[in-house]
Amino acid sequence: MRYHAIIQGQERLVEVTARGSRFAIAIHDGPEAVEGQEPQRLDVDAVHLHGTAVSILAQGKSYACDIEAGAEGKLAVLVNDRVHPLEMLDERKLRMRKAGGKFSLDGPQRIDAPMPGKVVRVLVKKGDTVAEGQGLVIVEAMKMENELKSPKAGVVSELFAVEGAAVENGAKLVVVT
Amino acid sequence: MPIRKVLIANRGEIAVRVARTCREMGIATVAIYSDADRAALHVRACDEAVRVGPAPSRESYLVIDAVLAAAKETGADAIHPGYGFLSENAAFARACKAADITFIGPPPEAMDEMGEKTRARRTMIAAGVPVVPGLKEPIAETPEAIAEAKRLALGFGYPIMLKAAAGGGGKGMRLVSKPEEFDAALATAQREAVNAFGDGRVYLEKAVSRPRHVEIQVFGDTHGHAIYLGERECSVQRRHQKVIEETPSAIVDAKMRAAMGAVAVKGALAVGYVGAGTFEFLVDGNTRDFYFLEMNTRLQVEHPVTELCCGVDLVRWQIEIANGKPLPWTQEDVLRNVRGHAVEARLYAENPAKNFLPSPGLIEELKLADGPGVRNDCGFESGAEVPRFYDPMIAKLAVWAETREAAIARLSRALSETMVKGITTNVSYLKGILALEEFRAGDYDTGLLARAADRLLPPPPAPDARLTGEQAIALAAAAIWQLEQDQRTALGGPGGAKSGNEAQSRWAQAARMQPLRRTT
Repeated sequence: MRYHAIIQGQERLVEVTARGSRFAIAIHDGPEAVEGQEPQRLDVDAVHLHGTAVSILAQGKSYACDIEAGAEGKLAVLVNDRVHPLEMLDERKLRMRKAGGKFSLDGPQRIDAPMPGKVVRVLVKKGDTVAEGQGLVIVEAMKMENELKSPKAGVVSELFAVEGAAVENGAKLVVVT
Repeated sequence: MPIRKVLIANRGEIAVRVARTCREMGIATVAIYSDADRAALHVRACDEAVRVGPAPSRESYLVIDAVLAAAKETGADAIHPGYGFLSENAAFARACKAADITFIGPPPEAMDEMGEKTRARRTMIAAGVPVVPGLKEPIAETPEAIAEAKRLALGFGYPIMLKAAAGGGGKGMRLVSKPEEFDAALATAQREAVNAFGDGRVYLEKAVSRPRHVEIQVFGDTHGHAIYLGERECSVQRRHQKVIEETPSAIVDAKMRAAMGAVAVKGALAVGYVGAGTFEFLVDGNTRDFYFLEMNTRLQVEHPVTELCCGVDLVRWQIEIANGKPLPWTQEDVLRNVRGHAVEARLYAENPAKNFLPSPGLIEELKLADGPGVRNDCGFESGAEVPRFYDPMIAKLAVWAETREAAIARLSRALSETMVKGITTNVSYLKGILALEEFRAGDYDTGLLARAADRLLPPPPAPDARLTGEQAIALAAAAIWQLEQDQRTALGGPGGAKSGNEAQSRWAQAARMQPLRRTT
């Protein structure tokens, strides 16, 4: 199976083949296999423990791993005591990602709640013109207030945040166009 | 009549910690909980539990009538307040007394004396305790008073500190480095003080160079005795919140400890103090002069490091002393028994990489450290929800070892074993602090974390860098995991590749992992 991994901001082609309890893995330097460029090859033994915990033995070394899956192929992989954020996309997801275009501030920008909490103040009204860095909404959690700022200059085209309302992590608060 | 049933007027790790000692002593326990804490660990750590109100603490844990009603309803004959919430509220201590319930803490009169900072300062000056040179009274809101304050500031010498009279936790506190900044700093400090405490009064002190926060644990009994149980160094602070504490302090030697201890005991006796209390001192890192800051009239968050080095249970002492027993140790007993070094790290549900944004939510999995010399005080477990309404501290990890160096290595090892999934915590930040050269050398002050902020953040990704061995293993683990998942999906297994609905899909996910060789 071929996957496209993004780690440390760089895309790499990863091939994985199961051979019983052992797995052969080839990690390429870039997004495609290049002739004459030998990928990094690993031959590992993987054992599922419980939940998402996995024990990996590679060249005699023991690694305690755990995987936390986020949205859209994002994974946080714990290796011993260090977390490695990365993304795993198959060919289909990769095509969708590429069609989605690059991250940019040109289009409408949605400001989401960065944590579960309570909207303590809404600093703008729908239709307001806002400057880049201007405060839009203050969300409070655990006795800490966090001001969410506009990522760009524009107009508040949609406003979902309501003062006093509890919000979940990732809840839509404001759209600046 | 000795205490037979204790209501624990708190939540989280400290409620669990107090319940443990009660259980060891054969004392029944009553938990209180808000609507956000029905499923919390402390409810199950106690024999009985009473709901005291909705999630916000001012409608539940802080409602004196509700807490007392819970005590009466369950027939509790004593209340342990923990720290925070009602622990330093003299009105609560009085209400307990009026209801004929033992408040496990100092008498309300002693709380009055030490509760407000300027009053505490006056009392301590009268008792001969050294304080930072400064204006003893809050600055009055008149042009003359402000002009007088400025004259005094010049006399003490800049830099000076402006501090809220009703303050704590760094709110309403401003460093003024030169006379021109005085007016603006005063206005800011007053505004912050009003917002934080509803009391805008501010006083003035000389700023101390390379300030270290060192506190002395004291204990008093109802027979007029008081002793000190050594110091705790709490200078590893972020925005005036303690992060790592240790005992002994690298800056305190036997002579200085004896001097600080004697001063603290004198202060405790001056106010008729009973039970556990802490004298906070500011120590000048250059001159090693120490000054009284304030007294905390309760058990401190960081009390475990004192327990580890003394080999005692301070909650047990609190209860015995509330029962009218004399102090179990003399000062000589303390000096004979204290040994080794202890360090504690506070685990916060926050994201250091995102400006310490709070990170409440579901703890999918929690694995605490274990092994020689390790102690966990934790209020949560796997599958628990960390509510957004309360303090972000979820656990304390404390270790003991023979030497400071060994204790730091042990804490670092224990942090490596600590795993919290589902929410973001400061575990790797804590490990980073332990690795700081200044911390290892014991040569630090309260500005350490601010100065080292850049070194404590994870390094930005370096493009084109070769993968490290660990990164390659991470990629391998992810690829294997993805392969297993995709094969399951292809076979039409449960869950599919749907993302979201995490809580419900946990079982399905475990099932998807089955094709990997399973150990028993």
